[in-house]
Amino acid sequence: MKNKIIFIIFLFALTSCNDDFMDRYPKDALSDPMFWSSPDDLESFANQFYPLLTTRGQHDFNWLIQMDDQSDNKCTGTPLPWLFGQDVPAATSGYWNAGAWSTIRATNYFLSRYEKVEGDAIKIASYVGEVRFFRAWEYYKKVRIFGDVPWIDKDLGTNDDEYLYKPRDSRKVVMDHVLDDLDYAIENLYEPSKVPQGRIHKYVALAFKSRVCLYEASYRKYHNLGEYEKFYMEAREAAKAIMSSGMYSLYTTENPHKDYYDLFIQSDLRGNKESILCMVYLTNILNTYTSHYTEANGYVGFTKDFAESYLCADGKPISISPLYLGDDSLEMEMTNRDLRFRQTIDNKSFPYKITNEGPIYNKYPRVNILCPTGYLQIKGHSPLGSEYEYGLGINDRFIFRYAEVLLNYAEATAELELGGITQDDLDESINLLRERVGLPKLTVPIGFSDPNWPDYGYDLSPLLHEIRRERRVELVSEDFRWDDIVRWKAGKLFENPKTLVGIRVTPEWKDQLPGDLFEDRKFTNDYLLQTYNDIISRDWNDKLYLRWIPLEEIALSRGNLVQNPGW
Amino acid sequence: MLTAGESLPAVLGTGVPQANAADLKTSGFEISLRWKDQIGKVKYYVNASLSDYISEITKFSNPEGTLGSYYNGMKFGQIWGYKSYGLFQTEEEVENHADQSPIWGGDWAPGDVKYEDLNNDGVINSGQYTLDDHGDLTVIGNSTPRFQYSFGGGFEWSKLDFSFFFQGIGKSDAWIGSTQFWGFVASYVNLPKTVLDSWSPDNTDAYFPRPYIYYGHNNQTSSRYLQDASYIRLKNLTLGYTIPSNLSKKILINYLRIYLSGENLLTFSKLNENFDPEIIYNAYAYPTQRAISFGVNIKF
Repeated sequence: MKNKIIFIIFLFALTSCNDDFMDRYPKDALSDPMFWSSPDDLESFANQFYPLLTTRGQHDFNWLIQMDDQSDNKCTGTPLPWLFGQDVPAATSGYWNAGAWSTIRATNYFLSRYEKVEGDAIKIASYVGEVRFFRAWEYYKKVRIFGDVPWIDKDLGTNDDEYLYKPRDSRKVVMDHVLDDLDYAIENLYEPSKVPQGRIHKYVALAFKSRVCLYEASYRKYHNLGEYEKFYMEAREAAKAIMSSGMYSLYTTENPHKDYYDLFIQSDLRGNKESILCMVYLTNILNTYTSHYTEANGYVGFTKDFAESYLCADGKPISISPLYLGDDSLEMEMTNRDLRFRQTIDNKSFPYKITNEGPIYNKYPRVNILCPTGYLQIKGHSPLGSEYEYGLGINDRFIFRYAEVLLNYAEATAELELGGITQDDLDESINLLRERVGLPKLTVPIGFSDPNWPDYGYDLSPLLHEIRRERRVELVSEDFRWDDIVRWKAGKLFENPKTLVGIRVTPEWKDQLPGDLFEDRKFTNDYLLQTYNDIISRDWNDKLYLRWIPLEEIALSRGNLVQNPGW
Repeated sequence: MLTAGESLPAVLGTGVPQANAADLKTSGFEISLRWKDQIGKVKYYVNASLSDYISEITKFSNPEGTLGSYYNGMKFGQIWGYKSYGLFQTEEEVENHADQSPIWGGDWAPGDVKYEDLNNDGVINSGQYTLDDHGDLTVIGNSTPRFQYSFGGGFEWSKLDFSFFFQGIGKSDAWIGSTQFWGFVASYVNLPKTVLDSWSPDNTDAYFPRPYIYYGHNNQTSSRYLQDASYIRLKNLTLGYTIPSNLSKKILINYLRIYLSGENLLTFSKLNENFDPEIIYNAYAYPTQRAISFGVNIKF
């Protein structure tokens, strides 16, 4: 009997441990069931997305010098495979692989779990706003690269066939979701004063919304997809909300010869009224290599076509302005021009280096593999030795700059078919940018016609021509140009031969320059320096507006993924 | 075996979880022989070993048959690529050859690699990259080390002793494809000396194609640049001499042997000279060294 009791107790002991006791979670690592408990967890989770803000375009380029290299503003030392039609679909691609979709997965992972967290509802909503902002950020990137993409709003398991094998959703469907995400973010993110420096806030989301909506509106309009008015409207309203908040203004010390140049080599952008969001570099914490790369690893220069887009000081283009002196030398070409010309491209107004012995100016155009066109970039390049020194640079970088908002506002307003743009609209947007650099105001109507307006492949109103010019010049090297060309369906711009040449070197000027400066280089009949000895023209192919989908993904999709047109 | 499961579309956003997703069958053999004997005053030994195996995937779910993952009947280590027997030498040759534009959209020129149109459709491509439609891709080799062998021997005669040991691989292919192999793949790399044998109008019989500063159309996996990774190497050679004990005892030493020993003294391999057959794929690994050492064994 006694034995039986012991045996029963023993049995009981074997079966009595409950499940809670058995479920142990690691104490030295994060685990999902333990994680979602306080709003601080949400903050930690959202932190992982912030590095996304440092790259914007299709490229992961961090340095100002490399931005816009895939555009008509610049030429690279060796031809870019993409622009010269050398790119072909491959089995795999970094633009569409598990890594490229991992951010979407992570945001959805958050969004299907954050509700477990208890705490301050406003705080929780602000982090949800952050994560939805980043989901919009990623989807906006995907739509720009591929056009239609599957909209996925949950973190997938291996059996979620209806999502895994989903056909691509129309970009319109996706962009409506992106808009929902951004509206939620704008509604729920804090005011800038209530968040630590560097955290996204309401006006970051508004600035991004104006960018996204302007992109989508013009893409739909110029690619004939219809239903674009609403997005121009949203772009305008978002920009307007920032402008009327009174929180931002353009940086100026009322020195039109220097302010624009100085703006991009500030050691501290915190507190700069033009910065809606900036990336801060601090000694011994995080350093930038921007100036180093601009000087040592550029392999890129501006094109003649870009240089000619600068207006003259009277607000007229070089084709009709009496102030234009011609381009018999770089110095002549820059005289009497929009002052941003001298503040963007190397010339004798700014020292290229400042050393202990004093300032050093480039005596003649730097024509070498680092700058194949002779128009060397100084925008964002600091002459200080400490900025050049590898790992010592601390100049901050814009992530959202107020100037873009003003340009978005002007363009969206001018594109709206109802109402149109007024002088007041221009005065509170583009004309502020012009005022900073001492250019006369842009007026309605503009009062001139430029025989050299770019050939976008379609007719464009004079005012839109000038608004686009202003955008090109103000935002150059800030990674907008390729997106602008795509959304304007303006690939024809690349067919202009002036997008393949650099400075003009007349025989008289050449005589004054070192003999070996142009060794092995060719010139056109007009003495324009050719970037590539064997390429003097290129054809645009419309397939380049969108990227190809990797073949392996198409093979795996059970017939649901269809390749982009032309590939 | 434990491996990532069936390939899933990238929208999953993460790697496919590991599972017992595949069955692998390995078959092979191993033989080892050793002989020790004495002829007169000479004690000698010889030994040799030989082993070989092949592995095959016998179960893996890959309904689309994509070449990017396992599939039933796949031989482990197999290398898919294009067949290539040479470089274009003239513009006419480029013109008359199958269209290679699916590999690269630029202008193919003399000195570029000529890929063979195996399916005779006039175009060089990888089809759908599946088993059913792989265009001109074919299995060009296998990286499994086949017929790994070693042999050695030695003798002792009077005070003299000698031994040697060889090892090698009878058959293996390697697709290296790294910067140290190609040299010209980007603007910021150091170039190995081997790239001097690149195609130019003055060096049309070159091994490497005409150089471009990027990795691309000439660097496709192809039979022309597949490496023969078989080798034979003299791993060790030792010659020793024992000082007669009556001499050594005068300095209070019972046993005194001096020897000269060499490691990796000889290697026979057809591999690109920048690579060592024992560490092909890791160009940053510490290299195999040839060492010659002199030593003394002492027993009191």
